[in-house]
Amino acid sequence: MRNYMIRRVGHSFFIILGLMGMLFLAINVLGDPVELLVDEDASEEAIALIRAQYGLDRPLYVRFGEFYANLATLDFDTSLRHRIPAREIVFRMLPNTAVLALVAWGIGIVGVPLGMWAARRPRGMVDRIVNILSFAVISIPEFWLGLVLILLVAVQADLLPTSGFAGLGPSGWLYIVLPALTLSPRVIGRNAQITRATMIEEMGKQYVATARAKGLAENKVLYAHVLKNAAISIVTLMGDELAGFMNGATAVEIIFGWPGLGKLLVDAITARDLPVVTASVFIIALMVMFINLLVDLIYTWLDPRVSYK
Amino acid sequence: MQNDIGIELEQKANIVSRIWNHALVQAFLSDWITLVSTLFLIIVILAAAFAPLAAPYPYEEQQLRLRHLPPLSSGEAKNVMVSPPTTEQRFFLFGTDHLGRDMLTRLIYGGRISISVGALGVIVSGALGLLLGVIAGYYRGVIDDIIMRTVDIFMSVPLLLLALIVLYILGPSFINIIIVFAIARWMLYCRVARGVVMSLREQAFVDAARSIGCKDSRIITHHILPNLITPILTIAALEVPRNILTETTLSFLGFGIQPPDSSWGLMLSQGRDYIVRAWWVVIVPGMAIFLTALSFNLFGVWLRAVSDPLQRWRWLKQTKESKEAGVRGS
Repeated sequence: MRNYMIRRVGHSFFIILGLMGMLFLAINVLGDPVELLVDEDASEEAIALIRAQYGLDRPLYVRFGEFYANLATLDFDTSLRHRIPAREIVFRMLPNTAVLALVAWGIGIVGVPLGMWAARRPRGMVDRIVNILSFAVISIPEFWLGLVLILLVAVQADLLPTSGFAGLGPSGWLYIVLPALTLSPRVIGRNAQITRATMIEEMGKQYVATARAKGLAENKVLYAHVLKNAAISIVTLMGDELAGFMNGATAVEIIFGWPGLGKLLVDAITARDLPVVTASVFIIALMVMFINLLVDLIYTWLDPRVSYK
Repeated sequence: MQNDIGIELEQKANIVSRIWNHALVQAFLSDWITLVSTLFLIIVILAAAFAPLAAPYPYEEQQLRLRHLPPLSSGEAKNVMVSPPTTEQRFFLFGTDHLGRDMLTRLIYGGRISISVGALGVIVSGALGLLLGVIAGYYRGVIDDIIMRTVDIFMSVPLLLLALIVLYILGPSFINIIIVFAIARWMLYCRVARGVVMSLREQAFVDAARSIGCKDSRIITHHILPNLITPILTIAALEVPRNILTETTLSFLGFGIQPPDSSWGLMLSQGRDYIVRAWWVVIVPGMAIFLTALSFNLFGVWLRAVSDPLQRWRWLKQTKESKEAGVRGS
C-alpha cells in the first residue's frame, strides 16, 4: 500500500512535469514567446528589447533548465500586467475556485438519491423520468444556463446580484448562489446516471438474490448491500467531477465575474501575461492531480479487494 | 393488362406493408423519444448541410433599421444592391439580432459549423485512437506500454485546459479546434479498441486466418476491424454532443470560431451584451445547442443499447408488449 502510494505520487508528479514541459516546448518551439508578450504591431526594436529583457535571446536548453528550476521553487516570474509575482495572484484565486467548486459539487450530491430512487424499479415511471431529465441537464451549455439565470433571477426578479464577488466571508454568500446553481445541474445529472447504472448492474448479481432469498427487507438489500458496492464507481465519478471544476468552471466564472483560476487563465491569455498563464496551468494541473490521488485513496478504503502491489 | 397492374399494385402494397410491419420500424414508432430525437437530428443536419437552400434570407445581409425585432415579427427589408432600391416584406420566425440579421438564417449557417466541428472532431480523434488502439492491442509488448502510458497522461489533463493551451499557442481557428479534439479525446477510442482487439486476437477465427497464411494487415482489416465498428460508433455518437458543447464554450470564450464565420457558441457570445434588451438573441441559439446535444445524447444511448444483443431483443419486443397491453386495456 505504501509502495503503491509512493509510485502513485511519483506518477502524478511525472505527469505534471511532462505537461509543463509540453507547455514550455509548445510556447518556445512551435511559436515565439515574444509574440505572446507584445502587441501585433510592435516595432522591431521593441521586440528586440523585450527579448533581451526577459532573457529570451539565450539558447533554448538554458531557458528549459531555468524553467524547471523555477518550477521547483514555485517562482513563475512577475506578472506583466499586475506587477506582482504570478504565484501570489494564483494563490489568491485558488480558494475562490475551490469554494465555488465545493458548493456546486455539494449541491450535485442530490443526484445520488435521485439515481437510487430510479434504480429501485428499472424501466418504471420514475426511472424513465430521471433518465430523460439527467440527459437533458447534461445537454445544457453551462454558460447559457448562467445567462438565463441572470436574466430571470437577477434582472427580471431582482432577487440576487447579476455578478460580482464580495469575498468568501458571510457577506459574500449572495454572489455564490447563481454560479453554483449554474454549475450544479450537470453534476446532479451525471451523479444520477452513474448511481442508477451501477445500482442496476449490482442488482443483477448473485449476492442480491441471496440477500433477498434469506428474507432481507428490500430497503436493507438496497442500502446495506447494493449501495455499498455501487459506492466505488460513484465516488470515482464524483472525484472526477470535482477535479473537472478546477478549470471546467471557466465560462461560468467569467459570466459571473467570479475571480477564480479559470477566469485568471483566460484573462492572462488575452492580456498576453505569460508568467500568469504558466502559473495558473501549473496550479490547475496540481489541483487535478491532488484530487485524483485523494480519490484513489478513498477507493482503496472503500474496496478492500483492491490490493496494490 | 388490367390484371398485370393489379398484381403489380398488390406486390407494391406487400412491400410497403412488409417494411411497415418490420420489427425495426414498429419498435421505432413505439419508442417515441428515440423517434423524435432522431427526426430532429435529421432535420438539423439536413438544414445545416443545405444551408443556402434552407436559410430564408442571405447570411451576411444586415438591416440596421430592423435590429432586435422579437420572434414572429415582420418588417420591411431594403435591398440597396439594385438601383433603384427595392423593399421586401420579411417574416422573422426567431427575430433579428443587433445588426438586423435574421436569427433563423444565422442559426442554420452557425449549425453548419457547430455540427461539422463536432462530427469532424469525432472522426479525427476516432481514427487516431482506433489506429493506436489496434496497434497496442494487436502487437502488445513495448509499443503497447508506451501507448497506454501516453493514454494515462492524456487522461489526467482536463479537456478545457488542454484546449485553451493548444488554442493559445496555435491561435483560434476551425482546423485548430478539430486538432484540439483529436489531441484531447483520442484516448477513449484507443482504450476500447485495444481491449476488443486483445480479446479478439486470441480467438479461433484469428488463429484460423493466420494458419492459412493471412498477413497481419489482412487479419486486422478483414477480421478485427469489422468487430470494432459497433463499440467505436457507440462512443462516437455520445462524443458528438460533448464536442458541440465544448466548441460552444470555446467560441464563447473567444478561443473558437471567429467572425465573420458563425457558430452557435459565437452567436451566444455576441448576443450576451444585448440579453436584457432582446432575450431571444441568447435564448434561441442556446435552445438550438441544447436540443441538438440532447438529441445526439438520446440517439447515442439508444445506439449503445441496441448494439447489445439482449437489449436489442428487448427493444424490438417492446412493441408487441405495448400492443398486447393496449388490447388488454380496451
